[in-house]
Amino acid sequence: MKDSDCVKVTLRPSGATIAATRGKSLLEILTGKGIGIPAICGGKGKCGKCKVRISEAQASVMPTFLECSLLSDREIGLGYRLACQFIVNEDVEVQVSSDNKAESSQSSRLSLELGPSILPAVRKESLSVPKPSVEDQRSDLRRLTDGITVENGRIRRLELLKRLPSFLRENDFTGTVTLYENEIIDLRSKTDNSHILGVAIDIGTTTIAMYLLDLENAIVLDSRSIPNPQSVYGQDVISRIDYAASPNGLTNLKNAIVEGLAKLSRDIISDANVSSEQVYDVSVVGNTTMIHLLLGISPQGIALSPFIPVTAEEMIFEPFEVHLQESFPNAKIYIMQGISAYVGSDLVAGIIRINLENEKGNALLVDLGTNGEIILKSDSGMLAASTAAGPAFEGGHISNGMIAKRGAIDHVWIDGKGKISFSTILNSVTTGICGSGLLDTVAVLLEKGILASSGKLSEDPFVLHNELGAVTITQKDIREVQLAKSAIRAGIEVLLSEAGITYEELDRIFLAGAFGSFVNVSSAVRIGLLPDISTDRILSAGNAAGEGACICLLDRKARDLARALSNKISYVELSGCKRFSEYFINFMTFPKEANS
Amino acid sequence: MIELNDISQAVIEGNAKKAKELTLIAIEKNVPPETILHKGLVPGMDVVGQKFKNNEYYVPEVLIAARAMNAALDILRPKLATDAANYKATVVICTVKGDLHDIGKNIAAMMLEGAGFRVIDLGIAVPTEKVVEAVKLNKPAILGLSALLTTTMTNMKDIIEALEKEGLKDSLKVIVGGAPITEEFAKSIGADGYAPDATIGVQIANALIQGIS
Ligand code: B1M
Repeated sequence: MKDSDCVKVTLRPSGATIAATRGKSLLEILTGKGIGIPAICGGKGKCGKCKVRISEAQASVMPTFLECSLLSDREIGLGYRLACQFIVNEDVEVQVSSDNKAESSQSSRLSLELGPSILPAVRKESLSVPKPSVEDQRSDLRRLTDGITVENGRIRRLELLKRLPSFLRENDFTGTVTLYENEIIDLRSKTDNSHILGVAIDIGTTTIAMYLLDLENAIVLDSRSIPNPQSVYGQDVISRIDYAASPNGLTNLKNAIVEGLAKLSRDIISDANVSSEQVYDVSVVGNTTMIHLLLGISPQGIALSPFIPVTAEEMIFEPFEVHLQESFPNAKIYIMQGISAYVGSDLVAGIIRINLENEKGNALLVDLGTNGEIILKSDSGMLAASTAAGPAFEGGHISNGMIAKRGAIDHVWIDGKGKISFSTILNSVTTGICGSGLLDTVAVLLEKGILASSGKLSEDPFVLHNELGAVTITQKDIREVQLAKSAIRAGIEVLLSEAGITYEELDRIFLAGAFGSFVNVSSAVRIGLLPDISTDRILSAGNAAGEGACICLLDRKARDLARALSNKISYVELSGCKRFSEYFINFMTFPKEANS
Repeated sequence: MIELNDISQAVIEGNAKKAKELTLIAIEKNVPPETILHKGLVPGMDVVGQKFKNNEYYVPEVLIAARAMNAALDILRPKLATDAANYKATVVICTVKGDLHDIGKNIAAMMLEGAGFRVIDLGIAVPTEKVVEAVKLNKPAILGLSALLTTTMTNMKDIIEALEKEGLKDSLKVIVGGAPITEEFAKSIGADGYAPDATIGVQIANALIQGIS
C-alpha cells in the first residue's frame, strides 16, 4: 500500500488507530478490524444501525441522501453518520456508538471494540504424544505435560487426573488440552471442535449483568441482565451489610446471588445453543460488598469506619468453592482486584474499558449510583473517591420516583413553543419519574424560573402533565436532588483540588453506570451535578464495568493492569474530610444561569 | 428598638458582616448583651427555623444564617454573664459511635443555640463512654444524638442503656434525630423525643425542659 493511498482512522475514546485504504467505507474498515458495528441491512444504507459519530473537521463532509433520510438534522449537525455511507478519503476520528436509539441529547456512547490482539488466560492446544513403551515409561501425567508447549504444565483438578489414563488410551494419545495459564483444566477428544467460551459478570447492587463470549473468535455472543435478587434484603449496600449480620443473613444473600447467576447463565447458555461445559473462564467484577457476598465472606468491616474489607484482591477459585459448579462446571472463577471498601473492581474494570490511563490530559470517570464512585486521572496520577449520593437518581426517596422502566418519565424538555414536554419509556402511560427525567425536570424548572437557584420551588407541587398522564414533583423531591447532586459534585471537587486542577482543565468526563448512559448531560451540567465543561467532552461509558470484565477474558494482560491500577490509584477518604463538607454545602444550590 | 430588629434581619439574611457590625453598635449604645441575644439573635434564628420548616430555606441558607449568628455571638459571649441564667438549659449533642455525618447534627446544634440553649457539641463518632463522661461533667438537661446510618443508629440504644446503668438517665431527656430514625425506633430504645428535623428538635427541647422544671 502506497503512503498516499493510506488514511488513518482513530477510534475514540480509546485512541486506537487503524491504517486503511483511502476510498473505503468506514463500515468496511471497522468491520475489517473486527470492530462490531451493527449493520443489519449489510451496509446498504437501509437500516440506519451503523450510526457512528465522527470528528468535527470531517463532519463537514456532505451527508449522502440516505444518511439524510435516516438521521435527524440534529444528529447530522452533531456529526453522526452512517458508517456504511461514509467514505474515508482523509484521516478521521470516529466514535463508535453501540446504542442505535441514542438520541443526540444523550451522551455519546462507546462500544466494545474487541481488538484483534487477543491473549486469553484460557486456550486450547492440540496434543499428540508417543505411546508408552518399555523404553518410555514416563507417567501419564508426565507424558501429557511434556507434550504441551507451556512450561511447568500441571493438573490440579483431581477429577481430571482420574480421567487421564482412560482419556489417553481411548483417544490414542491424542486430543485437545485446555489450559488456564499453565494449568491443564480439561481434556477433549480431537474431534470435539466446540469453542472455548468465557462469561463476564458485573454484580451491581441493583443489577447483575452477564456476557457470554466466544474466546476463540473474540466476540460477544450475548449479554443479559436481571435485577439483583438480593434487593429483597435491602436496597443499598449498607442495608445488605446490616442484613448479613442477622442469623442466616449472609447465607441468604449468598444464595440469592448464586441463584441469580444460575438463572442468567442457564438462559444465556441455552439461548446461544452452547453447553455450560464449554465455559472455561468466568471473570467477575463488582463493588467490594457484592464480591464479599458472592464469596460468602462477612462484609461487616465495610459498613463502619475505618471501612476495612476482608479482601479487595484478585482471586481465582474453582467453581465448587463459590457454589457455581452447576452453572460453570469447568470454569475458573476469576475475581478482579478492587481498590477499597467503596471503590470496587467494577470501577477498575471501567478504567480498563475506557483506557483511562492512556487518556490525554485530565479525565474523570464518574459512576452515578447510590454510591457515586469517582476516578480522576491527571498528570499527577490517579485518585479515587466514593461519595454517598443516596438513591434519588434511582428514584428512591422521590415521591413519584421509580427505576427506569416502562411508563417512567425519562426525558423532559421545553418545546419550540416554550411548553414543558416529556416522554416516557416505551411511550407508555406515565407511572412515575426516573432519574434522567428528574434531572431534566430540575433543569427545565430552573430554566423556566419556577425553581430558584436556592432550590425553592415556587409551584409546590409542580405537575408535569401531557396526554400520557401526570406526575407531581414536590419541594422535598427537589431537596433530595440537591443532596444527591451535591454529594457527587463535592466528591469531584475534592479530587480536583487534591490533584491541583480546576474543572476547566478537565478534558473529558466519562459517565458509567446505567443512569450515566441515560442522563441528558446538558441537564446534568445545568443543575451543577457535573462541572460546566462543553457537553461534547462528556461521554457515556455505557456498561463499562461489564465490558471491562469481558476484556479480562480476552486479554490476560488486562488482569495485570487491574492489579497494577489498584496499587497505583490513591483512594481519598471523604468521611471526615472538611473540604468535602464545605463543597457539599456550597454545591447544594443550583447554578444561577446556564452558561452555554 | 430598631437595631434589634435589624440584627434579627441580618441573621435571617445570613449577612455575617452586618450582624457583627450591628451587634457592635448595640453594645456601644449600652444595650445589654442578654437583650441583644434574646431580642435580636434568637428571634432571627427563630424565623430561620420557620423558613427551614416551611421548606423556604434549606441547608445552605440555614448554615449561612448560623454563620451570621455566630459572628454576633463571638462578640457577645465574653460579655454575657457566664452563669446559666442566660440559657434556657444545657444541651450536649453529638453523632454516635461510627457515624461521621455531622451536617444534620450541626444544624440541630445551631438551631438550639439560636433558640437560647447552651450547646456543648462533642463532635462526631463519639464513643458511648465519652458521651457518658460528658453527661457526668456537664449535667445537661438534654442529650441530642444524631445517626445517619442504619448500622450506627443502634448505638443510640447503647448510650441510653449506659446512662441508665450509671443512674444518669432520669436526670436528662434524650432527643434522637437523623434520616433513618423513626418515631417507633425512638420509642423502642427509650428516647424521650424524636426530631425529624432541627426545628422540631427545638420544639421538643423546649417542651421537655418545661416538663423538667
Ligand atoms: C437534638 O438532636 C438532633 C435533632 C435533629 C437532628 C439530629 C439531632 N440529627 C439530625 N437531625 C435532623 O435535623 C437535621 C436538619 O433538619 C436533619 O439531619 P440529616 O442529617 O438527616 O440531614 C442533613 C441536613 C442533610 N443530609 C446529609 O448531610 C446526608 C447526605 C448524604 C448525601 C450523605 C453524605 C453527605 C455523606 N456521607 Co453518607 N450520606 C448519605 C446521605 C444521602 C442522602 N441523599 O441523604 C447517607 C446517609 N450515607 C450513607 C452511607 C452508606 C455512607 N455515607 C458515608 C460518608 C458520607 C460523606 C462523608 C461523603 C458525607 C458526610 C459529610 C458530613 N460531614 O456529614 C459513609 C459512612 C461514613 C460514616 N461512618 O459515617 C458511607 C458508609 C458510604 C461511603 N460511600 O463512604 C447512606 C446510608 C445508608 C444506610 N442504609 O444507612 C446514605 C443514605 C446514602 C446512601 N448511599 O444511600 C434531621 O435528620
